[in-house]
Amino acid sequence: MTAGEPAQEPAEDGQPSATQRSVRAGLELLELEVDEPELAVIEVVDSLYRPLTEALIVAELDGVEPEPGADMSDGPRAVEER
Amino acid sequence: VSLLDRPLREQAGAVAAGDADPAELLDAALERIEERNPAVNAIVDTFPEESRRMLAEAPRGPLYGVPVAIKDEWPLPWRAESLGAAQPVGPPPKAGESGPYRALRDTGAVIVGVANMHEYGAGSTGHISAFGPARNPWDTERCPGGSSSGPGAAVAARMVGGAVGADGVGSIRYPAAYCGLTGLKPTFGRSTMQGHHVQQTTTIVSGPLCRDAADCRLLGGVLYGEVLASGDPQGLRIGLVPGDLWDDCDPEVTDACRHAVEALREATAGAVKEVDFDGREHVLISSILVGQTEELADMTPARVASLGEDVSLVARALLRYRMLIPAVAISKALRVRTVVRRSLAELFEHVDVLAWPTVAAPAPPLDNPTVEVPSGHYPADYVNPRQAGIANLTGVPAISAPVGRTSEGLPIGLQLLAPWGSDELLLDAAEALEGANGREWVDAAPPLAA
Repeated sequence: MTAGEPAQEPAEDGQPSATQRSVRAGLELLELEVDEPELAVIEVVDSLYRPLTEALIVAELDGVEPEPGADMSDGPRAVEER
Repeated sequence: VSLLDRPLREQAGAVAAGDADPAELLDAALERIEERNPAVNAIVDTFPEESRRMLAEAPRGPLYGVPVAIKDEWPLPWRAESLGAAQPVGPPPKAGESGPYRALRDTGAVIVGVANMHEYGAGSTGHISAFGPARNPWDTERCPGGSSSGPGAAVAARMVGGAVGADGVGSIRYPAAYCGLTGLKPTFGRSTMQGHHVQQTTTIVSGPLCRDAADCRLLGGVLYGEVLASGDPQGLRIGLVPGDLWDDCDPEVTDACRHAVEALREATAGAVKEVDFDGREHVLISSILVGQTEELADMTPARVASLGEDVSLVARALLRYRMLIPAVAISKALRVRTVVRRSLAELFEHVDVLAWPTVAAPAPPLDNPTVEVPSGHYPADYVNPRQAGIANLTGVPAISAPVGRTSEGLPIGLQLLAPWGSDELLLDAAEALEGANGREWVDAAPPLAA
């Protein structure tokens, strides 16, 4: 669990970066406008968290005993105890 | 020495014994807020009339006549919470009787002020708020920690002996560490959460920020609605997790915390052993994803779009970013939660507590809230959840206790985590630690409060 290296994906030749394009497209689908300063903040945050998110998405977490109705006030119980 | 300079329990004891007039204590607290608050901006609202009414109607409970502050995250009958923000992002907040308000009222406490917080609770530093940043009493150019920034700064500046905060991804423990206080994150569900704006939360808890563990025991017990009994932590088995939780920290932080663990081991005639748990590499992102998506149900694109420039640029950007979090990531984060919970349950059969630094580096500057750790230079908000998020992700209790100061005079905090329901053990251990270091760190006051 390292702090991680920020993903480097600078815009080239004044062209929007992949992050900028995907964020704009995603927010457009939600009919939510985003301005340049907001995009700049998002790009910084994304450069930090995207590697962690991608690592999580590709993680194989098969075989984990599920915890249906998990109660955070107590430790986990086996499925048959529920 | 003013009674306000004494711990919360001594204030309560003096009033109960008739040695102090609670009306005079309330006036003294209001005067002190007026005098010291301009330097730290910890308290964003006072209401002497309501405070005096609380005192007039106060029952003779364990906190009778004692002034306390409450984070701007909890509604009061005369004031809706604002979450340190100029505009709500969810439904408009309403004034009312939140659980912490009722708990304080029913035990005789007097709420003397509402304390500042990081905007929307979305930061570990406290450097952003609609009321302006709260400042660290140990160095007013530095962050007090967040999101319970005001509770931390108010207690450290000796304006109140205790304050109620909330902890969703470390928000009580960061300010405790940055401000040299003791902060308790209860086991999920043990402390009152009534009236909180994230009603469906599985991560957020109310909890106390005080000078020491005994005061957290008192104020925490009020929030729990039960007495938190003292025990003997002799033979404490302390687990240390190898890797970044210890190694990727400012060396002064690591050294102070290692010394504290050794002092705790000696004081309890205990043992230290190396342990580890599964899923550790995904805890940081999972705790953030789970914590930050619990509020998404209250958000709509229209609500986000309606936020004006009186809301910070960072918040406007982050709220948009949250709308795009992939569902698969959230689902995986919930799976990680199960992995870590099962692994912790197994691990706690072999150790009583886990220990590591509460924050990786001391309080960063307000104008540049970044920290230097061995792996690089990062926003404090990025590194801090790695240290604290696991308690919220899994529900276990955690405490931050002051264990030293850096060469620049900034407080250092050690975090202890225990099994579900073992909150009392954390208080016992923190008290043993205080005894081991002669109460040097819990009794220290910052220059502006000396």
